[in-house]
Amino acid sequence: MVVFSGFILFLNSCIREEFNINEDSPIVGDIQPSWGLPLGQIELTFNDHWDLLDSLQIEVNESDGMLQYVQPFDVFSSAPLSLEPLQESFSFSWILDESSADVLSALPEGVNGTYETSTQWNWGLIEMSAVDSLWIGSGNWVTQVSSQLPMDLEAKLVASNILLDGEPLETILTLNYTGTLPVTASQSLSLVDGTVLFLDPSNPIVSMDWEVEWMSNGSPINVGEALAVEVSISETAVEGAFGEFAESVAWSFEMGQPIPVLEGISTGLVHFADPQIHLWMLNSSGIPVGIQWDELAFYSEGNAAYLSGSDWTGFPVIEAALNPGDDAVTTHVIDNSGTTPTLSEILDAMPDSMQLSGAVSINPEGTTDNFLLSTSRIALEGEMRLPMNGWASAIQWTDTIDVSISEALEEALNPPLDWQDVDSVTIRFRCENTLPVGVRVQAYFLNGQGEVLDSIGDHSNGWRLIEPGVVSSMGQPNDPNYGRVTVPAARNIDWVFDREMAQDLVGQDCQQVIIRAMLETTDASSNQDVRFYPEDGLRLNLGLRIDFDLNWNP
Amino acid sequence: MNMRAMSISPALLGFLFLCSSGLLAQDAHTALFMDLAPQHTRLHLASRPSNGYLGMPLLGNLRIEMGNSLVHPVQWLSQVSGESEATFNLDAVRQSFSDRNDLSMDFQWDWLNAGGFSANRRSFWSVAVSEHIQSRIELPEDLMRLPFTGNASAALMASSLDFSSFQFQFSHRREFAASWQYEWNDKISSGLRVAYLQGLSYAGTRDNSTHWTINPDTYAWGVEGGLAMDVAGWPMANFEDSKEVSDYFNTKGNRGVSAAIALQFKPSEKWNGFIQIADLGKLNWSSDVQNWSIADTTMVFSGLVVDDTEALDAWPSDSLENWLESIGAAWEQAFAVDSSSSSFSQILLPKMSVGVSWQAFKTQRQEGTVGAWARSDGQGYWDWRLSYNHRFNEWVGLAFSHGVNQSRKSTFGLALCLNAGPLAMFVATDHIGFSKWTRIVVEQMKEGAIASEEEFIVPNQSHAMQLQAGLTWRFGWRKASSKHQKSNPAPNQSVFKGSSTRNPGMDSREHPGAVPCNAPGSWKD
Repeated sequence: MVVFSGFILFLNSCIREEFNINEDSPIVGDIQPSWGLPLGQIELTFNDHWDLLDSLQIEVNESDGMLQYVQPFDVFSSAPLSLEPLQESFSFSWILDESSADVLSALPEGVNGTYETSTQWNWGLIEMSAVDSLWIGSGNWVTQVSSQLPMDLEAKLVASNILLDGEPLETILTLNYTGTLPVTASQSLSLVDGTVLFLDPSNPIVSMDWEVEWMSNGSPINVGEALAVEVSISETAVEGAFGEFAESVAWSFEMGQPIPVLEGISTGLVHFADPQIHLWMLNSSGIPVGIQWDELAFYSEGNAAYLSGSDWTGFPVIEAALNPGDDAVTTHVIDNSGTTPTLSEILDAMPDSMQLSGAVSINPEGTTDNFLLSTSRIALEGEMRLPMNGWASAIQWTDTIDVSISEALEEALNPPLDWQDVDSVTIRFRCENTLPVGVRVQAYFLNGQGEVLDSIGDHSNGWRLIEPGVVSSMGQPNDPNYGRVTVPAARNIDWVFDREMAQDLVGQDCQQVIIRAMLETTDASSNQDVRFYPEDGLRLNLGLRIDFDLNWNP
Repeated sequence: MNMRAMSISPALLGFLFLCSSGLLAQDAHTALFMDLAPQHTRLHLASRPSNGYLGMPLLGNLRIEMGNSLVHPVQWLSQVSGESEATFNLDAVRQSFSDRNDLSMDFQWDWLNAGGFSANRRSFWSVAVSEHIQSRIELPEDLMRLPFTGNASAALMASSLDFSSFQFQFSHRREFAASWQYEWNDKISSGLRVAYLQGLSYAGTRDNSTHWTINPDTYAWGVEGGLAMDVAGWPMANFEDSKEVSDYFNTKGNRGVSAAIALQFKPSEKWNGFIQIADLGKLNWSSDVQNWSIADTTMVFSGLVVDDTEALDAWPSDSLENWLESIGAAWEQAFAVDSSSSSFSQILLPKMSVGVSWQAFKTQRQEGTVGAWARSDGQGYWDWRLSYNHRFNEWVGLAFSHGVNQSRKSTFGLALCLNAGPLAMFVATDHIGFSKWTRIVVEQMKEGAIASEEEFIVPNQSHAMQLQAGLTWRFGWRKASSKHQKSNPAPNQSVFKGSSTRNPGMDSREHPGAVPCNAPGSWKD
């Protein structure tokens, strides 16, 4: 205890320094910590967002794997010709001459006999120069007989080149004399699914063989009495016609198509290196069809630019289908190689619409064996394809956000921290870019009167650049990898929000922020064509770093 | 930040005071060559004390040590003479956290210790039952400097925040030790100590490899590494509500052994050297054991990772909360804590030491010895000490030293052994710098005037404070005192050499069976 007591006394005698501290004691030195916080990461590749691309009408070109914008359109879809319903009638009368009347008058009651004759009914089809056969879809065959002869009659008609269920058309009418004249009879036969075969295509005639059986009742018969026959077809729809159609212009067409993808893009900002118009011509008829173009015009703010060239003048004949039920497809591509001016030059003017007009003609190369069904269609469909191959420069997007930055900044830091303690706030964008496009962005801060208070970065050269990927410029523009990103770009983009800026914004009642983004493809200034593929994308990391400069003394 | 808005908490200063103060622990290196004090054999096993002894219960050997390289408020303050208030220097605060930052506190006391010579005086036997309580926490430099650097300073962007040096350890054990020192001939003697270890409680971390990296491009956080902790002997290890104190002090099942061996060589009368290896052994903990571990894992936090941009539109208002919960769940799963109840071993840290002493002068009553000593402490640090030992007479010995403990700042040490009749009092420290104290006066201001004051006295710039003391009963003191007071020793023989426990007054030539002892002041035939 003595030792410890002495030790304590020893300690008390050895106090070398004394410090007085209170709440007002000065504090010197720096505390300048930097804190980094990852905010988020977004990885975007075209392959992962097909829903979005579909909504933007962007798809993959299966031949070269490149992305392309596709705008489909229809020019026309119609029957090459219309087959008019048949509306024909035929009649004849058998008039008794004196000798025939005497013979019939002399016959005793109950004696019968037969009279046979043939008639020919000429059917005319104005669209066809020769008709091999017709398919009847609907309608009726109506036969009417009127007799002034005071006797019983039975008339039998056979049309051998009209087949119903595979058999020649046959109808029998019975006329029973009851003392009153004339005696009439009629009969109707359905022609549905009937076929008419013409033996001489150039002279379409329906042959009718008549056989009239009579039975005398002993009454006298006067000269001039007649047996009148009328045959008609009505509302008879032709389902198919086989033969030769005449060479003629069928009808004209006109189509207007907006091009929304180019809407709002100023001239000179975007260039498509290889635009194409793909046309599909479908023909289910047996008639070759030609198109006589009047114009293919692109309109930009009312000014028309007309396309010509071999792709235009050398438009192919739309092939005929070989057999009923077939569809013949004829394709044609209009691109830079066959257009004057080139399609790229046309699109450089950023047209807002295009106009197609012309006329359809059948058998443009002369009459051939054709067929036409009531269901036959010819259609001209097209797609404007804009492969993502070209360059774009300074495509700008601007948005104004109403937000009270001043209030937000003031509330961002709570006591004892204030903006005096913050040296800077850095928003870090980390872009790893496999796209051949870069982005420049800028933000302007406006007060309530719309006056610019400040901006992020330097006005003159402070655009913060997301570097585009480096593309291959080796070889020719039509080489598969020409314009494709070969070296991805990686760049950190820092938006530094320093203390002075924050304090300025806090004190200046900032009410709005204008965000401006500009897109530019790799080496667009030298018109370097670039290509976009589904594998292309970018990974964007967003981080926040706050550099404190803690100030301990007011 | 306005410092004026913050009030200085007396409690905080009290904590700092507590961290900065404390007394004693590890064996005082200064007393290494002080054979007048039997306690010196703890560090110098091959050296025999001058007398047989019996330690006073609880007071025979008491050691307290406090280490603090973490909090030194007086380093952070400066006050020019004449100024009314001190200046707080933040740069000094930051600088003070460089290198190691640890707090430690060790206690040791002997329930019983005693020692005596054998009949032929070639051997010296001693036994001790001692209690050891050790605690230490180390905080990584990167963690302490984090408020100053943040996680995204330029220097850190190219590396990582290294938290792997964080560790905590507490252990409480009881040692039952027996030592045997033997003098083989005039030049060589040896020492051997074997101890049975009884573990009472343990808590400690291990396998810490945690790092925090910041991606310099994206600021994404990467946390990697793992950590484990073992606990034994605590009621909470088995989720028991409590444990009786008597049960605690009689905890069974945690057993171990340790050993130390030393060899001393004396080529001449003036020169003496020794080599010693101590703390060989281990302690198995198997009672009330609980282990927690987090396997090596790497997790990266990149913020809100959006895989499907269209899903953003469908986010309900509480999705941020859900996202945070999912992130938390993912991290919790990644760094899941596995628990078990497996026995574990605490390997002692072997320490090898070498020492040499040179007798600078010797008179009839006084003797001066210069000593040098170095030791690897098993943790990658080296201790060394140079000392001068002076024996004024057979009653008073003094040692003054200068050296380094655990590679820290060098300090001066002082040891004193005073024989007062049969009692031998021993006090030593390796860090007399802790006697350089500082008074901190915290003034509470009110309306511009000092309303009240609180004083705190803290040690000044001391990495460690240490005090070792002991009170022992010397065997044979009466005869030795009376004999030496009445007789005149031979000119070439120190009075201390006659301090035999059997017959301290007799010359070595009067003890045919005795063998020389090379330790200064020990019996020599």
